Amino acid sequence: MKMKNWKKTLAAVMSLVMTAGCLSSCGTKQTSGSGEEVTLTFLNCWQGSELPSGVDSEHNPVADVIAEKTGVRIKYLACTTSEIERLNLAFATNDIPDIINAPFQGAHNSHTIAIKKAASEGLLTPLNDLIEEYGPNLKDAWSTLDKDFLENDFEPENFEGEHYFFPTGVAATEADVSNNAYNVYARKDILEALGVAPESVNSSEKLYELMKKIKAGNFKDINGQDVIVSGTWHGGWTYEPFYNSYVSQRDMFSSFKHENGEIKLYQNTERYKDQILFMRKIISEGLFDLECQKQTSAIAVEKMATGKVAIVGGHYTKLKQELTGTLYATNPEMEYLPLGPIMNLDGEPYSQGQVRRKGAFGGVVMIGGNTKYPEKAMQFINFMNSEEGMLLNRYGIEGVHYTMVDGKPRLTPEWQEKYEKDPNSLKKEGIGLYGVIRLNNYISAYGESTYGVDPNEDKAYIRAKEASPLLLVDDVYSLNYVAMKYEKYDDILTLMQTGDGGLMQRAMYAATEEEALDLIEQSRDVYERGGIKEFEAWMTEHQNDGQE
Amino acid sequence: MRKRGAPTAQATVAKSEFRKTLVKIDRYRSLYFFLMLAAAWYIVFKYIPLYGITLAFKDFSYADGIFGSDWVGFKYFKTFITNPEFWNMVLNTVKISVLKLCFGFPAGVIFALMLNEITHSASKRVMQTISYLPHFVSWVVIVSIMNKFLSPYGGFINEIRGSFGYEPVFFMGEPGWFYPLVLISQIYKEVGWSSIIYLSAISGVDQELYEAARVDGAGHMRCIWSITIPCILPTIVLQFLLSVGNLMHAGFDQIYLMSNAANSHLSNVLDVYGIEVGIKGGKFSLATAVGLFQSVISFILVISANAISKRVSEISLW
Repeated sequence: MKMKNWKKTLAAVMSLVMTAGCLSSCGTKQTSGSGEEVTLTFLNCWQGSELPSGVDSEHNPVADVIAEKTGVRIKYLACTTSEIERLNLAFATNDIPDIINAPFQGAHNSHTIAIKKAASEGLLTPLNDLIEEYGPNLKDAWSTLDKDFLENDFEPENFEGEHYFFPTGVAATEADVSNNAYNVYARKDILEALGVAPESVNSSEKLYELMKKIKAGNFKDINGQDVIVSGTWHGGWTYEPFYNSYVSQRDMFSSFKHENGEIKLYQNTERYKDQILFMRKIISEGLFDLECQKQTSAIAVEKMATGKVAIVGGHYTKLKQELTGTLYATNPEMEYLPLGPIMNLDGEPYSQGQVRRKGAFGGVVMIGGNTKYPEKAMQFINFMNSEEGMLLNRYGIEGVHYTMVDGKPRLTPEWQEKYEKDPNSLKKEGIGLYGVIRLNNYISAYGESTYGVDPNEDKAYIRAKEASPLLLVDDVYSLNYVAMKYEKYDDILTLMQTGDGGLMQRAMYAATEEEALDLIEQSRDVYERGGIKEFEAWMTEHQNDGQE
Repeated sequence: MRKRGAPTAQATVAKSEFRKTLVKIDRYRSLYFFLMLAAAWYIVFKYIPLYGITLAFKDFSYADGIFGSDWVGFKYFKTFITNPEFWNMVLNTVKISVLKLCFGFPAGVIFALMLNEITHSASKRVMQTISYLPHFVSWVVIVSIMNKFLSPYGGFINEIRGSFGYEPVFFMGEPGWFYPLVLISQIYKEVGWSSIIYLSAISGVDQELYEAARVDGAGHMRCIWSITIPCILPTIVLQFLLSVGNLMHAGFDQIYLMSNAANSHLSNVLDVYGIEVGIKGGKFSLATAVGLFQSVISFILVISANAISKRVSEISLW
């Protein structure tokens, strides 16, 4: 009997503990005994934002400083699925984190549509009054945006003068505009063996000739296996630089293109056809990785880290990030060198278009409409956007993680070494975790692109930027925004999202050029049946709308 | 003349029947408990969410939710049906599911018959376990294994081909290999699991029938053909009728993972379209319309197949 009572008591205690545990994890906010400190959830809605093991976003040296200054602790939520799925999940279930950083490329981009819809339906907290009272550092948050981006996406008419999100990753000065140097990169040892200077490969056709030489050269990877002549990282990212010679940069900020005075859907232009035919040629001749369009990130990294792919499309930052500790350490002779610059259709060096200071990543920060502590959320965001907060987020705590050297913050030798051995070591300290900062000022304020690297002294990076320069543009009024005024825009949007059932992509894998051309025609028929011709005619008529 | 309020004879009988039922339920309460769990699962996960169907006829608003959003009638059905790729998607979906029905469905029956012929019980158990295992492995893993095995760059199959002097083949990208690979992977993953129900039906066959047949000189094949198959036929027909309901579903995970640019004309199916446009494009109403379209057609197919079966073989679901 006694035993039974003891069991009952134990069961009751356990139930209480479990109930208390469940209740405490329900909801996202807790207040401490003093009632001053709150915990807010922060969704970093970018794929690959998972924290490395051993990182505690709520309790680390930087989190302690933030809590002391603002009374806010941040519970970090990563995005483990695609960004749009995560956003739709949050909005549709009304389970919206307190603070979110998410992609926002503008116009008909799916993230932009979802976020604007959420804002107009009251699921996001209006920012004007909060900024007025608690956010002085965000007062000019929209000042750098281009007119089209600003008036259509950040301040559309139905927001009635209110703001619901502000841009992040905006270059603080022109020096901070990041250039990842998108290009095609080839293994140095192969180029040397073939006697090909990387600068001499300045057109897609010359790239094709180089590919054929590599195929005939019987080159090997570090395991002695045959190389794949060319390829990409995960999911086909990115084969676009391969056909840079068939790209015009006149209208790079829009899905709709100028051709002979008319505005056309990109797929309906001659240059798009040429791009497809170029890809078909290299695929059919065994010069391009057949699997790369569907391969995972892990497979892609495995291939690059073993030097399996002789020519890779992508950017310098990715190569450096993935290969510094692997291929470049074991086989430095296999370093990937940028080719070109490859000349574009207009006879100029192909360059990445970038609207001046708009922000390279196109992300926005917003405060969820259900948050119990909008003021606290704004106080936290405001602090992180102060000079002190930005320095804390980038370098940690003075005297602990960094010291001032000639007026610039530099990691202490101890932390620099730790960082080089394990790039996640700084995250464990809370450095770089809280991505709510509007300005990217790493180069202009601190003189470093990454820790310990002065971009003006990184020769490989300088060469990569020369081969893929940035084209800074002002006063663009994208045709994407003109299109939004079309009466049946919603139908066109659905048509573009559904696409042609993959016909155009399939043309790349066609056995013959005739078959490819036939597939391209079929694809164009699909768009025509969807009403694209009427839309193109309307666009041609209204192409100058919005331009000043 | 019967007194007002007095129970009729019918009512008394009904009452006693009801009491008997209650007594029976009480006697088999543990079984009813298990039934309740299944019923609860169906109610919570299958019936309650049915209210979401209304979303197909509404313009979904995050703030107003499913109930509060505005009615738009058949707008999204029209959008879906007038999509230039509509017929291609329907055709692709039906082709894949018919192939699965023609090859995948009999595979379970044949495998069960084969397993039944293994007399060594330990070997039989090992075989069963091995065949069930792939069912519990996700399609992501299965397709990753296929990618590795069939890779043109050092994949196992192409290495073997290479050793005989053949050129490597990009199996996962060759349109000609798409249907065979869909079927092979489907059968590999599900054949063991789908054979369970037939094995249990076979175990219920009266052993005396086999003994009598053997006395009459029947061999293994004759026993299978004349005893086992006729005895499990009702189970086979019922399973077939239920499978017909899946004709408008090609299976999202498998097809999505196996699709690529080279085979997109074959792999563009309704299931994938619903997810791509609905979840990724945020058009929940359109995705629901696609789902409802699939379900209504499936429902009609099951009803028709059941009616035909009832008329022809007297076996039916209800």
